[in-house]
Amino acid sequence: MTTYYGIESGEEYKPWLWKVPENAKYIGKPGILRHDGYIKASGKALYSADKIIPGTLYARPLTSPYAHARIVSMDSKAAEALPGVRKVIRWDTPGIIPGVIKNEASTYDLPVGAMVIADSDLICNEALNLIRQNTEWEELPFSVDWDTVLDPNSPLIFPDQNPKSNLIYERKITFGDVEEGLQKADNILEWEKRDDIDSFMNAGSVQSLTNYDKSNNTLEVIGNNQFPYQVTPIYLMMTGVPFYKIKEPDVWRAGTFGGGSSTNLLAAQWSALASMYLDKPVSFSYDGRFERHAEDFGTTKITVGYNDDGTITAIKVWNIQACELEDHIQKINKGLKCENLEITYLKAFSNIGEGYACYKHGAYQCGLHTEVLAHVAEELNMDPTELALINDGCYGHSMEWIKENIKTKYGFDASRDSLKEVLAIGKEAIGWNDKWHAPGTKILPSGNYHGIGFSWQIAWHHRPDDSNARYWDSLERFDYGPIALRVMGNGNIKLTASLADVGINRQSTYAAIIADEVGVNIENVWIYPADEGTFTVRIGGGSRGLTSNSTLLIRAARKLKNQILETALYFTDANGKLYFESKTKEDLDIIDGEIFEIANPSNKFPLASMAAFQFVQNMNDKTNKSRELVVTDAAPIIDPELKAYTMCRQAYFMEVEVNPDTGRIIVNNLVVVNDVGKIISPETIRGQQLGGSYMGFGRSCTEELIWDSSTGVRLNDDLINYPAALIDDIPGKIDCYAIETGLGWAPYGMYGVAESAAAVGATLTRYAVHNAIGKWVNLKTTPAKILKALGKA
Amino acid sequence: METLSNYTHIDVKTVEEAVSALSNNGVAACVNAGGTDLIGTMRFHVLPNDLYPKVVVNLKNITPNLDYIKEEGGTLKIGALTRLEDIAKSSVVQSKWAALAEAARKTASPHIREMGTIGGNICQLNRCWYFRKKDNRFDCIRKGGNMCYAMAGENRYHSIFGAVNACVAVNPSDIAPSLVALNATIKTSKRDILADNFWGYAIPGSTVLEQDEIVTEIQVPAFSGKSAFVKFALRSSIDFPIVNCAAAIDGSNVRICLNAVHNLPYRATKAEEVIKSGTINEENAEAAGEAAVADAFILPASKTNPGNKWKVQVAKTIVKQTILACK
Repeated sequence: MTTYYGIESGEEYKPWLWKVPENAKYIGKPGILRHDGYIKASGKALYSADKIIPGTLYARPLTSPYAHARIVSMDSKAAEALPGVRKVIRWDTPGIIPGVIKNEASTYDLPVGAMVIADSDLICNEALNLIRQNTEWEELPFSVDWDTVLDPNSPLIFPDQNPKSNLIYERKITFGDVEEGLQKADNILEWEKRDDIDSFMNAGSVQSLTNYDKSNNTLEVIGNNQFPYQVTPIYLMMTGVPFYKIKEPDVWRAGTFGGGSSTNLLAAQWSALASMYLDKPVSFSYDGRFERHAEDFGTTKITVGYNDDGTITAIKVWNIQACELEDHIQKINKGLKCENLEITYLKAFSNIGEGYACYKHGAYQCGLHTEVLAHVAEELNMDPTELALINDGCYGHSMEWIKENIKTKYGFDASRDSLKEVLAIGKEAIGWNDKWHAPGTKILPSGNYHGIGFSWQIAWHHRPDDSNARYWDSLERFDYGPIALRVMGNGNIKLTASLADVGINRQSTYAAIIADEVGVNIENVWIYPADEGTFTVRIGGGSRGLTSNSTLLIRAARKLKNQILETALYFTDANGKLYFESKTKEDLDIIDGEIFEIANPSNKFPLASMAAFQFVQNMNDKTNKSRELVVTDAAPIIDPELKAYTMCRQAYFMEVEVNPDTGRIIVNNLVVVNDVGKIISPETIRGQQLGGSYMGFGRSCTEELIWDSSTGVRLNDDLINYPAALIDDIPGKIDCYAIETGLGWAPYGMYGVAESAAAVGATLTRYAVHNAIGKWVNLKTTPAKILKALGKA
Repeated sequence: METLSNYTHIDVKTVEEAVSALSNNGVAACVNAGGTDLIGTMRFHVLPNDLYPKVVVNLKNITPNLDYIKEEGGTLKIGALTRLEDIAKSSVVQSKWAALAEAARKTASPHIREMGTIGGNICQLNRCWYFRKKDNRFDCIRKGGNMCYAMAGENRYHSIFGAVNACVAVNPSDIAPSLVALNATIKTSKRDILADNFWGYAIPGSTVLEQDEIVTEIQVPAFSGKSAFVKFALRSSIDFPIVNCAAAIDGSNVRICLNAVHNLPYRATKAEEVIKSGTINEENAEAAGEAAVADAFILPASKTNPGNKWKVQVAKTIVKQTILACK
């Protein structure tokens, strides 16, 4: 029995049970025209930096030449006198919003002290050059080495915040009883590793345009953020301009992952400050990047208890300087059956910049269980893929338990075992059974070491209503919408959704779902920028775009289809005769945009005809009773007691050669296998897999942030000295597979793909290199480190 | 966006006009060919204000144009404005001066090779992240300052053969070692300079060119032996070399040159001697590699800085590979 517009009774709050429509033409099919393809390929897509408001002034900040310093004095008169300079706003300018511009910088290249507003970027730079020459700094204690900042003799970096040490906090998260788990283990293994840091890069510049209209007390803001609406409260708090007077024109945002990025927030704040001060539109831009990757580095000590049969009994982790280690242990907890886990993480002051999660993030989280299993496998001389299967599980339960108590209970296909399936595909593709060997035991005729490595993980796991990855256990509904779908006068279906350009091809996947669910052609689904409607699908894309939004999309589409069919019952031909006299909506369907009688398919008419008629009728309707085909909806609340067991798995394999004389890594084959639950767009998944592969590879071995220890200056904050890998840097083939087990909690059993390949790839090289040379090389696995491990440097 | 500071752009039609423009504007003037190095240097304000170009002399409209590859009387002649991609694809260069063609092919990326010229490539400034840091952050010795920050700082990519005038920055040209190995001559507006003598220490330059002197042509003598070029970089897609090497071997006439390992292209004469006195085989190539780095000078390492010792190992191997490629 259908209770909610096409959703079966009992399945209203179980979106994983919702089925793809029988006549689907687009969902899961290859070759679907990319919705945003033309506008981007033709250069017509308007990105944030392209937006121009007449009369816009340009603003650029002074940045700190030191890792930690305070401005003692500044003479900005020469800069202010430069033709074209409209204003130099300083930290001590009277009347400005306090706290936005500070006179102390805690990181090299951090905007600090002053901002020049001028008629052009060029003039700004000339003026800033003059300011630099006339600014006196007091250098303050700093450290760019997280390993030593907690040493008793290390200088206090921020004594005003902690007068005793550089510690910010120490946290511990525990599941089960780790000491008991270690005690009952047959064996205990301990090791330590120090992983270096990488950066993140945006395709677009850090830029924010603010237009404050003093007479109307309104703000128009355009920033380069993934979630522009998350920045709105910043404006509200800063300026006092009420929400309803803050307009955010939606433009494409060039790959800026992370709506709350400090850099982006700073740009928003500084541009608003300048615009309010001058009552003019101001475009603030900044080339620097004072942030760095947040989560995936640091010094880590790991203690593992394991039995002779390979069962892990306890995992104890200590880490300094990584960020949000809670996620690490959460991922282990969701991907292993080991019930005794403990992680202690310390966060300390340093001057390497703020950490922020971004695309490619999560490697450490994803990699920690592979790290554990790889070491144990080596100790036991076991195939690590076998060890993975032995320890696969979730929340301390084995997959056998999950099969009986979760998959069966909640209506999943209990015969599917994701890890077994992705491992089988991956091992076959890379020839694992023939090629895997004990570490450091195979030398090729060329003299190169042969290595093969594998990593697996649970990411990217997203619940249909999951809004915050950190609280995956929670099923609270976060503000996702609401959503509105409307049939336009021309018969096209309009969806309003943020244009944030993170991930790829999001628009096509949204359009495919709506088209198939309603029964129209995909080109008749139009997606409008978010600023054109209140009812906006706000998650532009990114890690959880599709799996999160599909609940909304499907419910709204089914609701709309229901409304269309109900309206069709009253639609007449030119002679006033009902098309579907004495019929019910259950007797009707829609395919290719034509509404027809199921028992008599020749009795039909186009949705566009009805839409046009409705439109005209509305115009002439004196009663003001709208007959528009429009629906609104909001995400449903899922069972708050339901615990999100992860059941989809991802596996990655890498075959390499390592030149023992140069340390060069040559990737001959990379195999990426994602259980995405249900495929919506094969090309989109493949794009994510390919893109993530080389990004992850680069992050594992070529990308590394380097600071000068004597000055704290970051030496490689440009794309020449910071070598991000390109697709050509993987000379071998990349084989991508996606399987559909339907074991995801999102609609149709979707699970998602997201940045999985980028995150796991960032650690995978370590295991392949270890298998090759028989030595552990910390990330980043650079030639220098490999040669050192081999005793040649 | 980082922007260029104001400067005067002068289009010249002849080499003489270019020389005159340089002469008239002194140290404030520089030439622009492909611009792939110069524009970045200007945008990021790498140099101190007194060295920042105030006048840029555009060479691209010079007639007769300096964009050609021709063989005359057995000598290869390449105009200074010839793009690297054209050299890489030239069948003449590939067939007779393989090291040069390969060096051009391995330079940077396709886009940069379509812009960058051979003249610009051999005249580019040295590489060092302290020297090249934006906004002239480090007043290093190569800019007229008092110290080399890399010497005791982050030096993993720096010279393995010591300093020149206390600077351990490296010459990053891929073309340079191939010209040295092939015993080329660089013709300028004033003179002919053997490639062996073309590079030198200057503030901030990398050649012996005088302020009002420009490269007009590269001449590579006839060569009937085998030549090869091998490059080691972090990425194969696009990168400056960590180490590169070119070798030209014609019987007992052996010339081997490394680059990115020293302030100037580094002629590996000790390696040459090994090959001159023996045949090209694995053992001799190995010995030549060892000999090439016999005079290596290791810069200090630290907990976070691996130092440059690993580059010695790489250089040794690259020399060996290059020699074997000439077999």
